[in-house]
Amino acid sequence: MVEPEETTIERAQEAAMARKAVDALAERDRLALLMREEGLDYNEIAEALELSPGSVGTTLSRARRRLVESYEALQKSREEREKNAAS
Amino acid sequence: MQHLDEGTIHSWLDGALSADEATRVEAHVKECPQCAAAVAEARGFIAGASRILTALDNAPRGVMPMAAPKKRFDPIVWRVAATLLVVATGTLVVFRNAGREAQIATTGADTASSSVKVVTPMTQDGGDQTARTTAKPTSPIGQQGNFPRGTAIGRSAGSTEKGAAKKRATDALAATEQRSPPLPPQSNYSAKPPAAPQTNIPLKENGAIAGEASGAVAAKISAPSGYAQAAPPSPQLLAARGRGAAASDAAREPELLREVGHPRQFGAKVTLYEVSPGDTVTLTEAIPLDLTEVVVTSATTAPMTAQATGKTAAIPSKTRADAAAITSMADSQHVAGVPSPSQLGIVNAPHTITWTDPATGHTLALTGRMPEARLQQIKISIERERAAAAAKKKP
Repeated sequence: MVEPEETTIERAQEAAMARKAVDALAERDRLALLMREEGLDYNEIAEALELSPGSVGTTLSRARRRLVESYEALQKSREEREKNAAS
Repeated sequence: MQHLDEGTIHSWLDGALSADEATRVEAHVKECPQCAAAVAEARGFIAGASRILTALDNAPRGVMPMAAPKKRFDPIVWRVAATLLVVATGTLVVFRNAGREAQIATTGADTASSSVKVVTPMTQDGGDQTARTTAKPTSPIGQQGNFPRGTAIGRSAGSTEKGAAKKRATDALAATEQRSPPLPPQSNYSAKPPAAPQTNIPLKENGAIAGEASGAVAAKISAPSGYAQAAPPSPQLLAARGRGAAASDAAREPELLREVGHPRQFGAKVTLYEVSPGDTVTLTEAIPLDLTEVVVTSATTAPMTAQATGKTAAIPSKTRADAAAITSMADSQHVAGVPSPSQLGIVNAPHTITWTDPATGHTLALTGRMPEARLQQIKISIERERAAAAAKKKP
């Protein structure tokens, strides 16, 4: 099924912003977040990143917050550019 | 109980806490609205992060850089190429088959005409079986090339028609032997037999040729016997010698000259004449050389000095008849006025007469294995022909 051209473009833009947001994270936060997204439990992440099991929750919470905030900032920036372009 | 930290809330939402801690956190969230708001915020972060990470995997195709596909020829190019190949091959096959059929048809026509020639009534009875059989393959030389009949058939018919060609030749030979001995009609000599100025076949081999029952076989024997440069003697020529019937032609006045070849010779123009079946003479016209224009292309050219003067330019003519053939010819000479070689006591002795062409100033040498008196007669004929040729060139 061929998607409409606008949807494809929007998805491409979202992917680009997501990559930018992920790249903006600290390495440890990014790794912990990606490992958790892949299904690893806290002990495995702690072992891989040489962390204490109790600090994994703190690392993940920080990573998630920064990722979302970074993504929202990029999204807001894009909306402003589109608004400027339209005006 | 103090408020929950963010790390504990994410651990509880991720299910990483133990059962006791999870029960305790759950009880606290129910009682503490601030921590409940923090849990709600944490749920939003978890959901938002998961959505963002999922967006990484949803990149549409064609956006991300990919390895360029290998360039391949358009299939239509292959189709066109294949079509052209098939058409070209088919055309080649058709043309080759057509050419072969035409060649076979020509061979068949030659065989038919050869049979017609064979049954031509002869006025002279050779009485010699050898002569008759040897004379059989009357020559389509002009059409088939420089080889006697049998060889020409075998070559032109191709492998698939070899059997048929041989059968036709054998049938024609059988028909010949059942009828009167053939004398090659004069018209046969309109075709040019191959010129062979340097040929000198030994007498014993010539005898072997005369003894062969087939002209084709005779040709095969003579050709590979170390005289590759000289074409084999025409079967009808051998036959005429053996039979002696050609003596009547030789005695005609004026001489019937027929150019049978122009052997290449450095510094001289050589013309080979056939004055009667089996008798040839060589006319050598010395051409003054301008050494500044000479380009030597072969190491086999004759010495320049000898050729330039023309004194020794006489070239042995084509293969001569063997002694037996000459004797037979001499015995059959019955035309007055032409002394036979035996009468002159000269057999196989070459004679040369020289004179200067008044028109060109060139020295001409006429060489033949015949008496000088006859060479003089031939000289007269040659001068007539040269005069006629000169008149044609300058109307």
